[in-house]
Amino acid sequence: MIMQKKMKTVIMISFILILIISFIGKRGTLVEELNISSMIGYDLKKDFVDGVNYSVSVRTHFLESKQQNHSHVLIGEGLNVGETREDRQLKSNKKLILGLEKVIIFSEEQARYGLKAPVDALVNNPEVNDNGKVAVCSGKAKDILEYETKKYNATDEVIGDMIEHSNEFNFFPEDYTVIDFIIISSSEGRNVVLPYVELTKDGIEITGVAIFNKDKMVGKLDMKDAKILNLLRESGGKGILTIQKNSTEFINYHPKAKRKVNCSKEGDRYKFVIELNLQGPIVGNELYKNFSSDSKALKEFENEMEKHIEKMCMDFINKTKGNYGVDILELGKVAAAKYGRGKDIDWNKEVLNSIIEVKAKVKVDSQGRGEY
Amino acid sequence: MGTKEDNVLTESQLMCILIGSMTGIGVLSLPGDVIKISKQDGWISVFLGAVYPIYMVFIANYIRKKYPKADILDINKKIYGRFFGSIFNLIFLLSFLLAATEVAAGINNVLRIYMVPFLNRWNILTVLFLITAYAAYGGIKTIGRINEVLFYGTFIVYIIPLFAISKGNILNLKPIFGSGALNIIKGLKETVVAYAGIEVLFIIYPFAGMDINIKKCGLKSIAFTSTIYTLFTIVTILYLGIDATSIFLWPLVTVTESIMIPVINSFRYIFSSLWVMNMFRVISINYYTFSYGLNKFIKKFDRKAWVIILFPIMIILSTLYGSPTTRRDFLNMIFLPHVIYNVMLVTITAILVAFRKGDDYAKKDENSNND
Repeated sequence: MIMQKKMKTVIMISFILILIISFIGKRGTLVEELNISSMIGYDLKKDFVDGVNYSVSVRTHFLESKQQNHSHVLIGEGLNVGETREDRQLKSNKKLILGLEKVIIFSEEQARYGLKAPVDALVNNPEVNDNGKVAVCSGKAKDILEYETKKYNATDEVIGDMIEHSNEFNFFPEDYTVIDFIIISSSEGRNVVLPYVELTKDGIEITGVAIFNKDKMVGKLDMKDAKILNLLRESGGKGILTIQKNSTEFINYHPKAKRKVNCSKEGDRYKFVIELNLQGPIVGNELYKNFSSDSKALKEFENEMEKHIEKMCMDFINKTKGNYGVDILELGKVAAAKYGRGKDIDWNKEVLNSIIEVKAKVKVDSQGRGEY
Repeated sequence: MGTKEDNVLTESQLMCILIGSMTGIGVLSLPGDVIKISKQDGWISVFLGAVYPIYMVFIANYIRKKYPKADILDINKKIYGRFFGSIFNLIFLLSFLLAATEVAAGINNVLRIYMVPFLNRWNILTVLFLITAYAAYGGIKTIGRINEVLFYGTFIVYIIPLFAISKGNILNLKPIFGSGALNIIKGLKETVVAYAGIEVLFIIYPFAGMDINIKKCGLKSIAFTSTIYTLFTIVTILYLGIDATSIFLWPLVTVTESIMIPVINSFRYIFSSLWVMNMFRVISINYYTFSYGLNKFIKKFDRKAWVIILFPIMIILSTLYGSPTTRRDFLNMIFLPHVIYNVMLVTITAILVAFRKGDDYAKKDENSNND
């Protein structure tokens, strides 16, 4: 009995000792001793014949600053992505911590060279915010990071918010995040499209989309084409479609687009039928008379809009078909899901050889409160 | 041991123990492992992997009918003789040591990547085993209660990854059966080991009262586990697709990161911490079972003494697994042979039990207990 009691005391003491010893030592850091990143930019310099120079800039918050949202940019340079971190620390006063960055920007030069190395570093680092937005910019990413937006409360978050809310119009999808880039660029029959931002004299602007083949950028579409691309490629985007005869006769329609693709095989060519289901309100009508009282006018508009969309989409498909050598509409994904994966089929080639048809179905679900 | 620990487990406790014992750390990487072989049909392999535990439950049920009060360690000793029986038992018991240490090493790897990179492995492992050793020290009753409480307390952990279903793309699952029946069968090699842990039933069934139907209990827990495993794999395929799954070492953690709820920066912290609590269950069950078995093997130390002796051994063994890749290579090498060994051992034992007279042994057992 006494033996047992002694044993219990020994166990208790060792229990407490182990706990104490385990928690001795320095753990973690204070927030004031950290540089908190809000934005990362990747630049590339082709300095010599067969080599490149990476330049990774990070925009960080100044926590002890009196001014609101005071921040500055730290730049690290090196022959590869890892070495830029070492170089950046030499110019920095604190420890850098990732995880709160809202947006990651790649310069066009970096994107055309390939994003494999930077994205690999992002996958490796578990601290990276996977839900941060990704974009490609013209010129240098550093300039975008250093740009100070005037009269805007949170200067750093301008691009992140811009991309996040781009899905209100132009049929942009919601998924331009880091994890989406990783998933899409590595999946069979899929290709990445990223928003393309530019620093114009009015500020930062989305001026189009960058088209990727796996991890390399192969081309750029301006906003007019990008909108049609989004309509054909994504499901669930919203945007404005217009039939305009002249400057006084036009009608705007703000639908939500649902895409469905049917795939079949004709001989050894694939045939894709893209069905677009659009549903939404009329924004403004200066074209049809008696629009709110005459149901025939509504029917006429729906028919005309369907034809307009089909023509617009077919023109776009024919125009861009051979331009980039890439299946920009992600049709390979649908074919792979039907005819089998992992057979080493080059879906880019197959889709470019295929027959593509577009069928639109327009439905007006609201005409607003009245007509002026 | 002087104290008699029978009729201590309730039906729900036994079920929670079995579920806890099967769902190990492996499920975080299971989708990745199985998709490498059976592609988009990986979830079918995962579902079919349940044959192994179902078979084990039926055998356990059969042996229990013959010898309700003796566990497989006693039966083996009687059947194969003292020497061979002990050797067979020791190899059988090693699977519990393996499970306890590999899960601890796995937690250590996951935590140091995803949650607490500032802690070193000794800190994590010491505290981890301190808690589980304390549970194991308490005996089977404590284990049963802990399992019950943690199962219901952390039930949300089984639901969190399923939220990602809304972000999934149904095309990723198609074509169903596209990878071929052969690959689905080959995938079983990865998925059967995910159900390892059911062996604990052969040791703990004497603790359950005779009114408890262990066949029903076991099948219920297997149904739960296989449903969870299958759903996790389907969600991973839906969200990541088969190509992107291979990028991540723990695809399921990546899936939980996709869940966006305002204020909560990342759901993975909630998921990981709750999952670690579940891992306490696995380790404590295996810790207890191993110390209990060792006590039968070397009677000089009682079970509680074995728990204390094993504490440093467990910690040191857990550190030997190394990085995630070396740990997985080692487990791939050792797990499948062990599963095959376990199946053979219990099958042969069951066959021999069938030929022996049950009453004869039961009498002997009573006599030996009275000594």
